[in-house]
Amino acid sequence: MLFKAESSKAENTFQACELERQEVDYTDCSKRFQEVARDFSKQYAHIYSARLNTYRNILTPIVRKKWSDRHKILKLCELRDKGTTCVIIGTLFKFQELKPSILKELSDQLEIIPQAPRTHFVHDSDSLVLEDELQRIKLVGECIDVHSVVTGVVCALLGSEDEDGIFTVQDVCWAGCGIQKPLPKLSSDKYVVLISGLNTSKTAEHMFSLHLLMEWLSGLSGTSEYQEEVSKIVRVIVAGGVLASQTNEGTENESDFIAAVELMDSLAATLSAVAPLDLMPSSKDPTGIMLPQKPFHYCLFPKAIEYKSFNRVTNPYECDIGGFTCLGTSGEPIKDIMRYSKLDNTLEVMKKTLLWRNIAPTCPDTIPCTPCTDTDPFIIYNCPAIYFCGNCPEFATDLYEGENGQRTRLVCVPNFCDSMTVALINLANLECYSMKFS
Amino acid sequence: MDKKRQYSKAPPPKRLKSGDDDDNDLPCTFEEQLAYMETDFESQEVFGEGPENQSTNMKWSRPPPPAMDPKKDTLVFQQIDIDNYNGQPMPGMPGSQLAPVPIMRMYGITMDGNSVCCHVHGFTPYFYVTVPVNFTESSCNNLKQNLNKAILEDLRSNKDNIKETTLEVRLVKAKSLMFYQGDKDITFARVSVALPKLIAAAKRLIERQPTSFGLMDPSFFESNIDFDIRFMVDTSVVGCSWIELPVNKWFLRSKDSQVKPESRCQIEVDVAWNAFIAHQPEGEWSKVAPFRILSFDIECAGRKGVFPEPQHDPVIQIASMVIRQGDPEPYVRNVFTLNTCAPIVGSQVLSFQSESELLAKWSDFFRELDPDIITGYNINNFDWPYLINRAKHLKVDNFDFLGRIRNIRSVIKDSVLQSKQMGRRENKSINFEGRVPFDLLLVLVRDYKLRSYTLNAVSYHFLQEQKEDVHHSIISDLQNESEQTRRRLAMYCLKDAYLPLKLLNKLMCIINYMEMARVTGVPLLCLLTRGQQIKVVSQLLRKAKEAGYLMPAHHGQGSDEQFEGATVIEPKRGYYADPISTLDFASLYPSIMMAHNLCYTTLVQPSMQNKINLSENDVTVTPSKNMFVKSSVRKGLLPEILESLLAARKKAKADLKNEKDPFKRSVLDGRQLALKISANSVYGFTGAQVGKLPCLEISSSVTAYGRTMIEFTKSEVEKKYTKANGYKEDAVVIYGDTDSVMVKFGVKTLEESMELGREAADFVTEKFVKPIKLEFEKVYYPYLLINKKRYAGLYFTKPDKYDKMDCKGIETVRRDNCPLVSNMMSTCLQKLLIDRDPDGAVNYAKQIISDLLCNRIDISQLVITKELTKNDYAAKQAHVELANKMKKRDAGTAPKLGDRVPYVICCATKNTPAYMKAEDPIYVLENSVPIDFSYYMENQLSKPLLRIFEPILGEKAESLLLKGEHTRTKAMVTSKVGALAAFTKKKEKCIGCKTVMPSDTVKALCNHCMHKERQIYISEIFKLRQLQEKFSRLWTECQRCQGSLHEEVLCTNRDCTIFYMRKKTGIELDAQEKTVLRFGEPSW
Repeated sequence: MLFKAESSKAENTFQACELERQEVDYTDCSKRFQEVARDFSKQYAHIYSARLNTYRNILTPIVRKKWSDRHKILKLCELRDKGTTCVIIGTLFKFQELKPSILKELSDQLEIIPQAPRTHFVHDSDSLVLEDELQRIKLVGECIDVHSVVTGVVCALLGSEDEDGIFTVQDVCWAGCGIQKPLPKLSSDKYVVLISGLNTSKTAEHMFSLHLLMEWLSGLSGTSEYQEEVSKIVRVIVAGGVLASQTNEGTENESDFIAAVELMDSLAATLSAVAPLDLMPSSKDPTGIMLPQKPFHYCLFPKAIEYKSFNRVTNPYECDIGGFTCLGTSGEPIKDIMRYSKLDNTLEVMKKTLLWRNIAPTCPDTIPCTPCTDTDPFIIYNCPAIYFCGNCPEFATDLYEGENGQRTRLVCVPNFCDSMTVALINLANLECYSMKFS
Repeated sequence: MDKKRQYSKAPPPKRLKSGDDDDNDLPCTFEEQLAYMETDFESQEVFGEGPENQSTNMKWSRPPPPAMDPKKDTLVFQQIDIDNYNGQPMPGMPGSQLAPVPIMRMYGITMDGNSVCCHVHGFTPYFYVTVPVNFTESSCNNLKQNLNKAILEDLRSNKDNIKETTLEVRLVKAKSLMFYQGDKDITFARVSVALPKLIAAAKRLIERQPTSFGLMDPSFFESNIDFDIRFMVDTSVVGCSWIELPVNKWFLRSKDSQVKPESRCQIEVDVAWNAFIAHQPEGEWSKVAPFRILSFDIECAGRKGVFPEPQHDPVIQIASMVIRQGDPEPYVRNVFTLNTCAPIVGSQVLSFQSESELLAKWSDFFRELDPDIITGYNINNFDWPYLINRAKHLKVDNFDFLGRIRNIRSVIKDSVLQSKQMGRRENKSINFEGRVPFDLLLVLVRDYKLRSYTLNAVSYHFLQEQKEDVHHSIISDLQNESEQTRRRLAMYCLKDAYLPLKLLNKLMCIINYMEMARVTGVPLLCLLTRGQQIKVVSQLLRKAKEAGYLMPAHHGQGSDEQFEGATVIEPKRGYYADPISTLDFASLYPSIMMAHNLCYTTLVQPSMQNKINLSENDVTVTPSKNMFVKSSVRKGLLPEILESLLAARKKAKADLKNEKDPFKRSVLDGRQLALKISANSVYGFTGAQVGKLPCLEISSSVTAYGRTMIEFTKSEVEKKYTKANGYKEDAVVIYGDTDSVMVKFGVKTLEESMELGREAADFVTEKFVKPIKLEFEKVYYPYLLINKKRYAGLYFTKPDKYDKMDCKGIETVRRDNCPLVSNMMSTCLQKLLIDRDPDGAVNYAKQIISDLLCNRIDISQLVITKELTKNDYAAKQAHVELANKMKKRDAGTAPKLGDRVPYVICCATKNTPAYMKAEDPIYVLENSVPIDFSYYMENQLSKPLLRIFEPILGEKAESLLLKGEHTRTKAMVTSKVGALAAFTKKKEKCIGCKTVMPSDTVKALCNHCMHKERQIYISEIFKLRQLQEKFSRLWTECQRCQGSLHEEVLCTNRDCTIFYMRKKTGIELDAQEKTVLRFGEPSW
């Protein structure tokens, strides 16, 4: 067992010992994030259409199971008989008075009084509509709370339309997190380390912790016992905030990055030398801002790319580590949901996204997004075993258990630069710990 | 959205009524006179057999009327329109019993929402004529006989079969409105004739041979009054007032009564002209009935490149929204569509397979709904004519029975108006007996000065709502595709019908106009179709009648006599960092007229003074050397009108303070505004040389008094507030205009300047005749005085916070400027006045100039827009040339007559005239055509900039702003089109140093830059990120605006700030993505 403070076999034998780094099978499953179309003559309607189409297929059998065949599934344009209970499927859209509008900002530039910038955009007047390919309908009803859903979520609703054309919701059906590949049984402990927010452009305060982290990972600290445990780390994933963290105020300028990227190159090289490293960008890092973000460009890491184990990956990122599906983002979609709803607990939001089966529902509405044409890359196809969210204010973890026996380890990966903390997951039992370096 | 909006800035045509109506329109302000002519038509009503009203829908129909018995019940309704017709006399009614007789019709609504048509019998038209001294009662009889005979002979065809033309001649004693001629009454003959149109004939015949009627050199009085106004004045009915028909005085028409109903109103009654009660709109009677206001919009499927014509292109949709006055939301929302249309939540969709049926059913709906007020955007000049002509073309027979009289068809009439300012403008007018067409466009053009009058621009301006706009070239495609695309079209159509209602509500147009009608006493419709004059005439007649005066019939002859206008004290230009107190005369011109008793009735002709023994003390000689008697001798009518208007305004303002109910508050606020405008228009009336009764003696006296008062104020203030008198500094009057004086007291704080301002205002007021009052209103701090009528300042009424930034005469709304100019000006002023940072303002202006030269300004800021009114301008104009050019490229999307053409000025070879350099902004973006920045510098920015900076920087402003270091760097854009573009081949350049790369390499950088690869890559990525963020924010904004996530944005609203930005960002982002890719795919 790793990091028990009072290790029972704490013998002070400082002899050199060779330890083999454990290896597991690894597959990058981020093709769908990598290969989205990047045609900027296209609009965002396509991604919504693709999303809705996929969900229609996902939801139809679930709806049948949940509400039996008694109620017809109708498109909004087929709603002709008022008052008849039926099922409709569509994308939720939330009207939000406070939602920032570029149009307003442009005209406010000419106004005298500037508005105070907001960080939370919820207002009591927020209201919901459901939209399908062609139409919209206003929603009311107790069982759907406008403040705990967001724009872009697709769901099925049971209810009826009244005389004024408003749909009263009686029940809601979410897509759910999908089926999970059976989790392999491991005979020994294998660890995955999750780090986020290294923030090398602002290193002064956490430089020391960063070095401790490096030493620890390279097995240069602690007892041989300890080192043996460290050798069970099979993979390190950096979930965004590589050069700049999302929490940083203002925008970074280019010159800050030049030095930061060099430091990061060395760090990445050091890390890759000891363990396979996955490096995800996040919204402030030097790659495109639109989700899904492309991996970092190789020219930024001339030293690290010499290592085969150095892996520049997309954000969001999905991979298979020894049969465990690992999915996560650098945190933007989760934060964005919190900005536009009254959900305020990161873990809870992560559970919601599993329930909705979409890791970034508010994309493209309030997160910059590539205008994908044929697919919505954010849909969850396989229920992951590990689901993480980077750039969180503090470490938190929970085990999500789905209706069909799915087990998912949820991890909020804290910002390293603020918390000096990383997360570790033992693949053998899906347990998760934090580790502080200060 | 697709259609041509023809704007007219000049007032629309008056309602065509009696033949001798020679009312001319009058501008609100005397200085900018317009005179217009109109081609007059003999009003011809078109009759037919109109269809019955149908009742098919609970929501559409009015509530059923209560059972009424004239013997037991009174009938109370608010009238909204009054007209007259020639009909059969009704037994038992006063007036002539020989047909035809003129009958008035009042249309209105009861408080329960039932429509009423009230025939008013027995009111006869008449006029006055002066008679010789020896004219007796028996001469009256002769006059009557002779005139009767003469008119009958004069009537060539007499198709009305008039038997008796002159009904009565009697003598009356009264005074002429014109001139003070002592207190003796003069004798007039009051001549009543059978029909209104005979007044003109009678006058003409008498003028031709006065002696044959026993008259000598006759003058005519009140012979040029509209018959409807005449009726309203004589019965004390004002516009939109409540009418009560007392028990037993009225007769209900029904299917079984002797006289059958002829209107579509639910309640139709007859009453004698002297048997009803006209309530004055005060207290209980200031309420408003629940009028039905219909707003509608049509869509036509045009052919590519041609503006829809009713002979060819079908009407495919009509959307209607109906609201009850006072309700927050429309209660009827429907759309009539040709071909199927998917249902729309919250609106009724009625689909038809044939267009004829669509039109027929819509007109059935219209009649069943029975709206009182019809609104929409540009319905008078587009929607109505199109519908009526289309229905005629398709032979939909009953379509045009749209008025409230069953058998009268609605007909389109053209009227042309000519004004000095606007040139020739054509307008259409359509008759809807009993309903008021209230085209919002016409209201806005009348009341607001805007940069653009498209519905998009207007709704953005007033509601901060962008409206999705679909180019007319795709309307036919949407119509032909499926029921879903037609639904999409229907959504636009509904929105276009809804917006006018929202705007009416927001701007409170209906309430304000109704209050104006009540205050001035004219029907609602007159306010939209006629000018200011008729309002003053109506008030003057009412007062004159009370006081025993008659109004002379003035022969409008344009005279060139000019008189000096208002004065301005020569401005002491500059930027004032100290507070400037402003003293204003409250209602200057009205109070001068009241103070000095200036009126038609008090004006003394020079020759008359001795004749009527007026002593020096009895008269006032005005600064323009005209003589008026004092109010001790005779109180003038105009001062009386003004007093009652201002007293009423004071009362309305006091009521407003106490009123809590928001709806009643809006009524009161509309009322006080109407009263203010009316008071000010009295002065204009006396000065309108082509008006009903101009009197230059009055108007020039008023302005002369104004001038002396401004001068007087200046000298008094400067005399009193001096160091010698113990004040901190010598006060200086730095500027004075029509009714205000700006004083610099030399004090440094707002509190002090306000205190001194108040004190000075009271001090000077003391020295004036009552009710002239100088008021301290505001302090400008700081104040930028550019020139006469051009200034800007921060406006304070209380010391702690400014109220607003006040700008006069500075480029902010001019339509022929690009938005960059007005945006830059307002930011500069903001920096100057609010931030008090002149250096910041200069730097900002320099930054903008440098941005402009380096191509960093968004193209939407550079777009100039002009309306394409006709193709054959004599002088070449940029937008016309461009329209022709675009037609050659693609006739389908090229601008058509009536469209607004947006353009930017592009580079061309030297000496190319500017009109050849205009180009379509979209084309410019797609082909990266270089923009002619120096044009924008020299022709757009420089003048307004120099104007505001000269008072601050002085002589060196020009060299500093327009020729400084910041103007040295210029961006070069290489065009993809043009003469040379075909011969050039693009070679890749090194992203780092712009060196041309060998043609076979694919690398991003040259060898020399390779070591800086990371750095260069990061800076390119930064550019990419900015563009990506902008791109996604812009497009998601458009999705929200169009109200759909799953459908593509089709909007082509070029008035929208982000339209060009969206396009430009897309193009730039594509290019930047390619640039970044030259470094290689990141994944390798």
